Amino acid sequence: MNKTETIKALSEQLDLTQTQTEEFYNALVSQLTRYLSKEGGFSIPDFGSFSSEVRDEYRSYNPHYKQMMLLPKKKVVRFSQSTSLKGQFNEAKL
Amino acid sequence: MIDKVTFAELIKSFADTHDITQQKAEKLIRGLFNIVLDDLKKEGKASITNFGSFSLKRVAERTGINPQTKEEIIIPAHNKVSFKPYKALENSVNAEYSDLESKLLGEAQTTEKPKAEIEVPEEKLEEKVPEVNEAGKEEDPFEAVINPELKEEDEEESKELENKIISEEEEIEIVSSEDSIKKEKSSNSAVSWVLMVLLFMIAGTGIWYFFFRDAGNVNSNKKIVFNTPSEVVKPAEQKTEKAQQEIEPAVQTEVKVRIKEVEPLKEPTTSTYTIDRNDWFWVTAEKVYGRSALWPLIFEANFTVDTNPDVINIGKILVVPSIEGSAMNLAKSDYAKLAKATLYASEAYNKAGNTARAAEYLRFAKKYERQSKN
Repeated sequence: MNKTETIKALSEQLDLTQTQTEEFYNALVSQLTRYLSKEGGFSIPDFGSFSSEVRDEYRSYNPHYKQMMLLPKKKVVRFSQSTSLKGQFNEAKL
Repeated sequence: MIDKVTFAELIKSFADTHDITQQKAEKLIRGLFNIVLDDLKKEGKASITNFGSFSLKRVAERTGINPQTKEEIIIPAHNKVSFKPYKALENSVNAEYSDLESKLLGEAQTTEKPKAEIEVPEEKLEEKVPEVNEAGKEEDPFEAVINPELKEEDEEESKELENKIISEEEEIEIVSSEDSIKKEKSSNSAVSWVLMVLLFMIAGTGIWYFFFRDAGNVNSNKKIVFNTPSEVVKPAEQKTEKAQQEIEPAVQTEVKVRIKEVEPLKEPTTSTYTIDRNDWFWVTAEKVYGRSALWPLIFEANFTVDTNPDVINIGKILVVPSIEGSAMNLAKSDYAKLAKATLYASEAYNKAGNTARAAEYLRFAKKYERQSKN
């Protein structure tokens, strides 16, 4: 589903106009982004948790330059699926 | 480390900052992720605009270790939802470190990275050649192969040139002299284009021929190849057939002399290589053979089993064993040799304490052994 379809579906669920829903949608996405960049992340029940962490610099071989390269520190987003989400896509459980 | 925001906090803060009740905020967020979930179930992928995309991935079966009992257990194959942030989110998260850039280790190559890289092996080859070849001609191995072909091509080209020039002269009677000069020039440039293309093709076959010798070698040779067409084209521009014929034999004799000097060079079976900074074994193999996977051959020929393959000995002169096939199309005997050498490398890794690598190379060795029999 693309953004328009998503907003249409949400507006029906929430009893709001599509314009209002789009405003909330944009605000929500920017808030989630802010949580990831300024705070440690956030979690959604029954879905999973999003977190950001600093990945240290590391060495890697660059096949173009045929040399080892040092890749810099980077803050990256990590997603960890919840157990219930995992269960929904895997029928047979241990 | 900063703690994650809980769902309750998320709803409260969102409801407080926007004109919406907490119930509706919860409904909005849950509704959004339910849509994602539905999409994942239907299509195996989903996305949230300006945020990121989700996709369903299959994870293969693997063995793991139970951290409590230290027992080895089999983790069965399963599906997993993976998340990939979009560029906007990625950049916003990484704002703190956005000014950092990746850099090359070792030599100071800030501006001319690719150039400097290619030139390094080239210089080495030129130093290396005189050891083997007393004639001391630098760019020779390549020319030896190319020139016989080149010579023939040149002759053909020059004939074509002459024919065209003659036909042009006939036209002069009809068309005014100015026009004919223009036409001649244009036909000459067309012919020189054809020449260039042909020479490229020859260079290509030459590269293919000498692929295993050294990647850097190719560059020095290209320059020489380009010199010859300019010699042929220039006389054509002068529009005098005589001048052209005079230069033509000169080029040919030069070529013959070079061939004579070069021939003894074809003999050597092994060559040497001096380790430079950043020359890990696979880098060396890439430079020497054009294929990094052949590094165990070099390792076996030069070091004992007690050496750690991940350590570089700068300045050490290596013996480079020859291979029968080409790097990309190895002969059966090469595979047998490679299998033995890889086994050797695996043993060395084992002694150096890198058991994971050792196991990996043991697998490679078995693969090469199979290929040597096929």
